[in-house]
Amino acid sequence: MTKMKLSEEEIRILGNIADIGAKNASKYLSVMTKKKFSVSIPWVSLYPYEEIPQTVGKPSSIVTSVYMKVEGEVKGAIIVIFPEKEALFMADLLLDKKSSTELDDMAKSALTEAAGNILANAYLNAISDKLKIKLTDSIPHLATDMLNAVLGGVLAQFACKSENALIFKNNFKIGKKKINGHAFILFDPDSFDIIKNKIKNARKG
Amino acid sequence: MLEKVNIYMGEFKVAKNPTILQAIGLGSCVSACIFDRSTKIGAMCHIMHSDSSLAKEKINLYRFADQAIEAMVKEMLKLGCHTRSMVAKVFGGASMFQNVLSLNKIGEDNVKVVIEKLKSHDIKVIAKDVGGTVGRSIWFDTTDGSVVVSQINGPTREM
Repeated sequence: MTKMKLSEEEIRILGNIADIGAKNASKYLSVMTKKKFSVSIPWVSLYPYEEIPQTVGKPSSIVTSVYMKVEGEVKGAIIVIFPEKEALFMADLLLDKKSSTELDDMAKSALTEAAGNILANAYLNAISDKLKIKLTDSIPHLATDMLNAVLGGVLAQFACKSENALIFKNNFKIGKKKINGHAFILFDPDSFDIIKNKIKNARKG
Repeated sequence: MLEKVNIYMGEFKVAKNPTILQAIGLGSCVSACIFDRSTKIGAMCHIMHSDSSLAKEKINLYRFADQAIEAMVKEMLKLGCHTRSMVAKVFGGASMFQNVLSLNKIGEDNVKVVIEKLKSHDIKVIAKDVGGTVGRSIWFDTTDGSVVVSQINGPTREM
C-alpha cells in the first residue's frame, strides 16, 4: 500500500513525451484551421484529484468538454475542456464561421472531432511511440455544464484507487489569442506499474 | 448574512452555528445534507465514489459514500444530535456524458450507497434531487434545514 511515486527522471521523460504529443496536436490543428496553434509546455505531475478542477478554473464556470476513454496495455482517460466562450470560438474556427452564439450540432461535432480524434490521438501516438505501449482510443463524448460537474465522474473513476492522479496537462493558444483550452490525460492507477516499467525500458533503449 | 462554506470533493463539514454549506458543480458526485431538527446542527458531504474497497493505497476516505456518511453521523452524534431527530436530503448523481456507461454507473451507485448508508443509521431521507443529465449546485441553510438547488438552463428551487 505504498503511494504512487515518480522520480524526477521519470517525470522528465513523461514530460518529453507529453511535449511531443502537444507539438503534434498543434501541428494538426494549425493545418486544420489554418491558424497558428501553440501548446504550452506540458505539466506532468502526481496531483491530488480533489485539486485538479482548480487548475482549470472556478467550480461553477460553464465549460464544454470532450471525454475519451483510453484502452489498451495502459488504461486511462483524456478530457479536453474549453470555457463556454472559447468553445464557440474554437468551433467557429473549425467550421470557418464567425461569432456564433450557441453550440449547434455541427459545432459540437466539429469540437468533438478536433478534441477527440485529433488532439487526443496526437498525445496517444506520442505515448505509444515513445514507451512502446499499445493504446487504443474510443468514441469521444461531449458535455457542456459546470466545470466540477463534468470533471467529477472522470476523476472519481481513478480517485477511488489512488490519492494522487498521474496527470499530463497542456493549455493551448491560437495565434496571439490565448484560448484557455485544457487537455488532460489521466492514467488508471492500475496501470501505474506498467508505465514505470515502460519508462525503464525506454531509458535502456 | 450567514457565513458560506464551500464543501469540495472529498470533504465533509459539520456546522454547529447557522451557516450556508454549499457544494458547487455536483455531477456524478453526491452531497448528503443532514439536519438535526432539535440541535439545529447541519452537515454536508461531497462524495465522489461509492466503493472504498477499490483503494490501492492510503487515500482520503471522505471521497467515499460509506466512509463520509459514517464520519459525518459520528461527529454529529458526538455534538449531541440524535438520529431520531436527524433528517437527510440527497443531491447529485447525474450522468454528465450520455452513453458513457462506466461513468454513469458511478453516479447511480453514489446515490444508492449514500441512501443505504443513511437508512442504516435510521436517518430519514425526506427529499432528494438525483440523477438526470445536468449538474447541480446546492446551498444548505442550517438555520432551518432548507436546501436551494440550481442547474444550468433550469429553474432554481428550494427543497
